[in-house]
Amino acid sequence: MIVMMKKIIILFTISLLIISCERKTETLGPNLSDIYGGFQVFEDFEASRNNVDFYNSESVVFTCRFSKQVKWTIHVIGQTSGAKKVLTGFSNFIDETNGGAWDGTTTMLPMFKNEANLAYLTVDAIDTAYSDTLNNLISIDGVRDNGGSLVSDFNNGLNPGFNVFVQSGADMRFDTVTDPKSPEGTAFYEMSGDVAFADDLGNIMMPKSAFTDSISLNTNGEVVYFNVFAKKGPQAVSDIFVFQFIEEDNDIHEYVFQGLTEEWQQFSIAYADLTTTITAGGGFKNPDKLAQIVVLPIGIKLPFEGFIDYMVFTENGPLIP
Amino acid sequence: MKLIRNTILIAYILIANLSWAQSKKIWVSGAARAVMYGDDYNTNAENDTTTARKLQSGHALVDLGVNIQPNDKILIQGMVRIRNDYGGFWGSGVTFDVRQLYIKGILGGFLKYQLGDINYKLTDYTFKNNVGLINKYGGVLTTVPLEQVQYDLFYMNDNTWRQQGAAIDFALQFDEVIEEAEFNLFTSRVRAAGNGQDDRLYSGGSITLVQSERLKIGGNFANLYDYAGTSNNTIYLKNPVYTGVAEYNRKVKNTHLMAALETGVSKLEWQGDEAAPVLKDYFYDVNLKAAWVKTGISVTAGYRDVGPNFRSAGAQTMQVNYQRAPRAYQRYGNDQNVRAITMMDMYRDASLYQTQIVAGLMTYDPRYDNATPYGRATPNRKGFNVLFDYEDTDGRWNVGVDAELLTDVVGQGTTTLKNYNTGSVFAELRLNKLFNWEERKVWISGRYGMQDTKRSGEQAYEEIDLATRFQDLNLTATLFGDLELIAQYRIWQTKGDELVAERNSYSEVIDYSEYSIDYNESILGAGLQYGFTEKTNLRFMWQTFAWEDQQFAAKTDSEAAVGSMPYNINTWTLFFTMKF
Repeated sequence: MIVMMKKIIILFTISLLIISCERKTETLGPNLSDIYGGFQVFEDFEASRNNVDFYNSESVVFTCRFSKQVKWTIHVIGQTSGAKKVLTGFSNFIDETNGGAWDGTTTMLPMFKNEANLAYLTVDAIDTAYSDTLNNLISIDGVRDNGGSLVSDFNNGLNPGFNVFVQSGADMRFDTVTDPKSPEGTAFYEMSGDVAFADDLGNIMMPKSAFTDSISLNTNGEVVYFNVFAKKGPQAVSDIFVFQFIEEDNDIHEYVFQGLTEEWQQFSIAYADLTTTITAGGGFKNPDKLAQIVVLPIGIKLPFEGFIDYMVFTENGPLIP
Repeated sequence: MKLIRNTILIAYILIANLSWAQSKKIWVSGAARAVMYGDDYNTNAENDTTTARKLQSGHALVDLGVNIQPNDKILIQGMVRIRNDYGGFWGSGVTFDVRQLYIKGILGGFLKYQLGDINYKLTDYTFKNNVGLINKYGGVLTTVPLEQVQYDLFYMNDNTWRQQGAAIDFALQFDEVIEEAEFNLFTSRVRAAGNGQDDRLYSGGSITLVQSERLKIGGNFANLYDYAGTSNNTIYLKNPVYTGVAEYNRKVKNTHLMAALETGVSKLEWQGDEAAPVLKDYFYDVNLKAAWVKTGISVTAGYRDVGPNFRSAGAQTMQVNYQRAPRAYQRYGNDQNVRAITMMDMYRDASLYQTQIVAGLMTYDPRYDNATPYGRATPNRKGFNVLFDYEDTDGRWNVGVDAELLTDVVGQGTTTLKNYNTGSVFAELRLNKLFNWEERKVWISGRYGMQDTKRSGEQAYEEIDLATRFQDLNLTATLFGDLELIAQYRIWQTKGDELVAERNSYSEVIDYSEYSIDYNESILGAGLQYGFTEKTNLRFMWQTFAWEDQQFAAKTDSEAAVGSMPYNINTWTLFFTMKF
């Protein structure tokens, strides 16, 4: 009997050892309160500061607390530029740990400028439509440093040394346009007209020596990105831009994009992904051998209205506006 | 084609018959049955002008198994099924299938092997064909068709799963420390490669060390896995389960004592799928049993804890696939909605049942078991179980009580846990033995069962209250000779609300569906049973089946009403069964 008891004790000792194993104790599945619970705001929507200097790496942290997890969206609207930043998340609180911080970037062009900004919150749940707007505008005292090497932002007109050729078409407009809603700064460049005898409306030749920044590009085309903002006007029938990258050995690589809309869009491409059209120097893509960029608006003998702004080279990824 | 088929069939029968006559090393075994159903549908819920009021169906079949034993170490069986559906004539409607094929024998005098069709099981948590609550307690009427369904599906009383593969068993005997070491190994294919999917295999085995007749310890392993390289697929499922078992038996005077433990771990992963989780968990199950031989009383009590992420395909695959629809009256009513599965369908429709184990957790129906839909291996359950049984030593009665008091291990969507209480009381009186009616058999039996699922909480939406009640009354009485009267009344009711977990393809809970029901279904019937021999019976039965959802009228216009329209089906059945 004693032996039997010993063996039973051994069995139960083994059981107790297993009982002591660790196990995750989180609840299974989505929280019922998030599905069926009522919505309440425990802490109002607030911003960490009313003035922000993004240039010196400051940021704005939005905070709010709810009674349940909800899909929330924060909208920041530039009062001068119309720039828009959208922050979203699904949680029962908002802070810098779950997407509530704004570092000065933009979601929809134009980029933010030194301006006052309106911020408001919307909540979307099954039984809830809630919104709240900050009482104070957030003032940007310094815009974000986007980094990169600037080719031109047209804020002071065409760079000295850029050469413009305009076909003798109808209603030809190759000029700087000053506009506070410019995607960057205060101006962009227009290339419009109607040329019935040629595909292109003309071009701008931009020698490397005339770029705004003194550029020394990486030799690796995989990490060098070319970025430009572009849109078309309401009269445009065609919607194509060609950017030619002419290297010192006369190799020519092209970036052709189309699908322009009447809203500003960012177009970015890795230098290595350019299409080589002339292989006079062997056809190798060498960013450090770049000699000049030529911009050609393509109307294909039809009316064209095209606008470009903020041409910039970045490294290790496209521009984050 | 028909000529070839018939020629093969005739040749097969001739060989079988000649062999029967000529040699005992080749003999024929099998079974035969003839079944006829006559259904009479009726509903008061609407002026149903679409559904056929009467349906007749049935078939006759014979399973012919040729057993070939060329020597005392090899046995080969090939069994064919010839089936003629009711109304078939001269080959029309006749099917000819190979039902099973296997070779088994002994190698070297100690190694048992079986190739082809094998029936296999390990333990409750590794590999076992669990019977659901709805089919757990048979009745004299409903068991008749259910036994045929189980026979067709190879659902055996020993809870094995039919597999196609290979198995070997052998044992080694020792002089010291342990008496014997038993080894059992198997492998089978549960899915053939195709459509961009790999072969899916199921393999495992067990080692049992017999220290003495009192003490056994062992280990079990089962693994459902994709066999990489059999397709271009780059995602491989793996579901290994490891368990350890120990069992101690002791007889003290007239009392048999037994203590048993099974514990183990599981892992379910999809290698190559970055979005897939890795589900790991453990379980343990301890049981103590005492049986008093002189009185016929036995008591078993246990406690178990099965983790929420415990996954064991071989133990958790359910018999009934609730995502299928019944074949009889599949659509009904003027809207021709799919009719919900009922207990009547489960007793006679083999197409509702699973024939192969599957990964993850199948969808279950809270009506028929909300507490342990995946058997003892149901994940996220812990608690006590008790079984009391009193069998009169003179065979005059048998009474029993069973209960399981379980809770969630972790909450679903809330920290509050659900309680699952299941229990039933059972009594069988053999009146002929009580009153010494030696020439007649008069047995009556009954069971009352319940299952409650409850959860309270600070918020109303946390509250769950789902109650199932079932009752079963049976009568078997000899009229004269071998002719018996059989009768049964069974009712099954479920009422209340539940939030049923919806799972993704990885078996994780991703949402809940609101489940609300107030329904009952019942079978009342009687019949005559004539036993030609112990293995040959003829039964003629009549039954009325009623199904009603009390909430139907309130939710007629909602999707929830689909398949819930009340109806009755009266059925007469002719059943001839024979085994040889």
